[in-house]
Amino acid sequence: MNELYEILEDIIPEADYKTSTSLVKDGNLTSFELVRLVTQINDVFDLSIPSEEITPENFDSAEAMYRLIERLEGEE
Amino acid sequence: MKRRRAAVWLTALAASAAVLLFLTRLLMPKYMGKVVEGNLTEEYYKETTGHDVLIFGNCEAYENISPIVLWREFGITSYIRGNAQQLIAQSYYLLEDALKTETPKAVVLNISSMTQFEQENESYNRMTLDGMRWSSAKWRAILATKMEDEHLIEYIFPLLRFHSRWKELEQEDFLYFFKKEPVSHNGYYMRADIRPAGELPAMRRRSDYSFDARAWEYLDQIRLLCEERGITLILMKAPALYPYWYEEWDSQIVAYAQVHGLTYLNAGRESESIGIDFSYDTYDQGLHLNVYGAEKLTRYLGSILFAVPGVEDRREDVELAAVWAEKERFYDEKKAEQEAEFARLGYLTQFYTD
Amino acid sequence: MLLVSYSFAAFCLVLFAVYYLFSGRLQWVVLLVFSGLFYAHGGVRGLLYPLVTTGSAWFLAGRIGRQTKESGRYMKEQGFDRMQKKAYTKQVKKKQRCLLTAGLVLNFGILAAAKYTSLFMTLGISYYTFQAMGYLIDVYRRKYEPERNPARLALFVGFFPQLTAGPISRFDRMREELFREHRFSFSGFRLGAERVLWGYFKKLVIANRIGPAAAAITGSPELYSGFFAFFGMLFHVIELYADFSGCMDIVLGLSQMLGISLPENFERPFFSKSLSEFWRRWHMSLMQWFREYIFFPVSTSHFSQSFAKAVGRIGGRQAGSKAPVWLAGLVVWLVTGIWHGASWRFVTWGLANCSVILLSQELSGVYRGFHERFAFSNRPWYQYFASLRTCLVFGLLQMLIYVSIPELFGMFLGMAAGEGLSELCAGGLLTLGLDLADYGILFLGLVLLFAVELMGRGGSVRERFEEKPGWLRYLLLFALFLLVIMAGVYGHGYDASRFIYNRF
Repeated sequence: MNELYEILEDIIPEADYKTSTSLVKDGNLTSFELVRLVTQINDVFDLSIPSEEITPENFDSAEAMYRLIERLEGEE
Repeated sequence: MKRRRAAVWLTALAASAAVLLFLTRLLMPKYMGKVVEGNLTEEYYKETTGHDVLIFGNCEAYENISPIVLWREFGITSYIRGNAQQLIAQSYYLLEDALKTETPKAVVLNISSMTQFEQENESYNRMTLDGMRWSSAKWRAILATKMEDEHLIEYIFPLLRFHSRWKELEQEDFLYFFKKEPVSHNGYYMRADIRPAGELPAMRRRSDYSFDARAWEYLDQIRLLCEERGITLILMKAPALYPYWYEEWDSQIVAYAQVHGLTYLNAGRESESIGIDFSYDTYDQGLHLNVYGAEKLTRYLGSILFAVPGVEDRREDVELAAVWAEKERFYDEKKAEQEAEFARLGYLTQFYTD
Repeated sequence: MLLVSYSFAAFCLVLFAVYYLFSGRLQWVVLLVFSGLFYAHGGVRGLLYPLVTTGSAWFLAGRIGRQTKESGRYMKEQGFDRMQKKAYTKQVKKKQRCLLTAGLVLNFGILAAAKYTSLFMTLGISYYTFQAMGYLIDVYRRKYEPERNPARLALFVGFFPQLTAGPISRFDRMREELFREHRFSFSGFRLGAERVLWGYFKKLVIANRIGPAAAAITGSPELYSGFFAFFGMLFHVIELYADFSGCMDIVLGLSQMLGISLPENFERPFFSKSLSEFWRRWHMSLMQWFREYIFFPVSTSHFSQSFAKAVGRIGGRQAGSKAPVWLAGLVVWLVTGIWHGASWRFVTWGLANCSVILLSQELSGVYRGFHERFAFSNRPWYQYFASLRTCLVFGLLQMLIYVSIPELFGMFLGMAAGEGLSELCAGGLLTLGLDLADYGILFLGLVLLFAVELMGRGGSVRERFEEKPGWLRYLLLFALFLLVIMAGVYGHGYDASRFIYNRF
């Protein structure tokens, strides 16, 4: 989780990424940030997040992102 | 409560309809200036007495025959239902429309409109059709003669057609909002100015002299309708130097009249005996007759109409005489006005274009 | 059939009557039949292309769906372990990708042929192709199961209001809308009609009136230099927005009258504070489509991610994570440009947009510092300034569509030299086909449009309008109706009532 926070701090330092549950809906994560986020997550967690997983449900909160990471790690 | 709500709704809808009607009336052209033809169709409905003769056709009808002279000299009551570029189909529907309220003894149809079945300018259609009273005849007239970019709904709601006229509203639009002055004398368009015939375009041969099949159909329908109602149909062609009335056209009408036992008067051939002098009797160099020419042609036509069974001298009828005396007064007054103005200026201000 | 025509109005009236008469589970069939009629109005042959698209999407998505199901069952039967499952799924996916590719190549091939050759052109081909291909990709991605009934898919692809200029909608969302029962609701019907009226206001009163002036300047930029160019840009943008968003209001309002909600395509774009925000609020459904089916796939593709790693090794993690964004942004804007038209002008326009957006993205750190340092940048007037700046940038970039870059520079030099200023002062705007009365109407219309959009910042204007007393609403709506009827440019002598965006 901390690794994820680090990435988020890097990309959206202004946003309240630890508690917010509407990061995408509120426009904190636009498509640009989303792609940067995915790229860094891929890099750090050694994953490859497929494009169809880039949905508001998966990225609206840090928790949801973590769940996604765990799920994809399980599939690997 | 419910009833009150309904009442409020109805009032609101009625008020909205009133606003739309007001705007429609304001924006529709009044045709009280240079172009008065837009009022011709409508004026017919103001007639209080019937007619023994109804005359149909385009400019060759409403500019060349004077019903007032027909009355004054023959005691024949008549009305011209003609308009600018009135198509034969429109003449048919106007006849149908007129026959709802009266049955004349004779119908005179000017057949120059056989040469062109389709309308060439939308504004002619509006002038002929807008004044027509609503009935199935008007509905069918619109559908039969509207141009490609015209729509029936623009006749039902003329505001859709004239909505952008707010930019060009004139004094006359307000002046004649409620009531218009009469512009015709029983459908006759009077011109007392003179413009002698000069040089005319050369007569060109045409590749095809046949009339449109649809024009023939409407001519048949007019004939059948007259037969059905026991009306004598007379075909005529007014004298005009131009546009040319070709021999090939004439012979087709002659043949048609023969087959169906109709009278066909080609007044163009009779110009001399009628006494038409194109250096004096025309106001636009030989295309149309002025009042002097029209009166001459009317006298010629009157003697023929008088022979139609049922057409009588009605000058003895006191009631009719009173109505027509007023028409005569109006006619003489206008004619004198125009004559005086023409003598003074050499043209008529109302119709003057630089 | 044009949205601004009496025949379209008659078509809708008949549709409403039949639609609510048949309210029930088969209501969607009425929509399908009328969509077919709408399409066939322009010639029965035109039906061929949407049928091919629907048919291929239905067939291929069906195959893909069946393979997904069968493979799941097979893996269960065989009792595969995780590794075996992964290998087998990969195999199936490969087969499915072939089917997907076939569908995409066929349909985008038809689209390209229609757009870039003069062989044929058929109504709404871009919009329905995008919808159908979105559906196919979604099924391939296992987002939902394929639709079994080809007729239902045909309605999704060819729902007639969308054929003029979109919006592009998604199957999972539209499925809920199209195929349920819609009972007549007076308030829904009225709300829809109100929106249609507002759309016609934008289209007839503003877009159609300003159109000739915009066309005069943008059509011959060599004649109109200097300050005229500025007005040309202004008029062009106004026309584009009033035309396109007006069309959307008509389409969405009409759908609402049928009880169907379509996705929004505009969210007051001219109040955006940056170009990238602008493009999230302008032609939204298209940009979302591009984002979901081009931007994300390209940026997360194996190639992009490897590229990111390579860049990361040289320029650090920051730069590495940005590399896919740059790459995918470039691709999306290239496609956006080419989609708008097969010419270098559009490519230039797309790339220019891309450059501005990516550059401002790069400079976001600088902006942040600026906002922290200068308190005034949080004042309302600064927000307006930011919106105005965005509009200007958008307008300038739009100019690239009708002038070349050297011409654009020429115009600015001309403007700096005061070119055209004296002609403008001498009434030059009156030579563009509009007279003083036209400009008066335009001004009034724009003030109204701007006021309503401004009100929209405080929440839905329509909802707040609903709270007003009935008599006031009636009065205002009747006034708007009169405005459309009287000040709208339509009818006799006007035959150019085509929406700009139905060319696509």
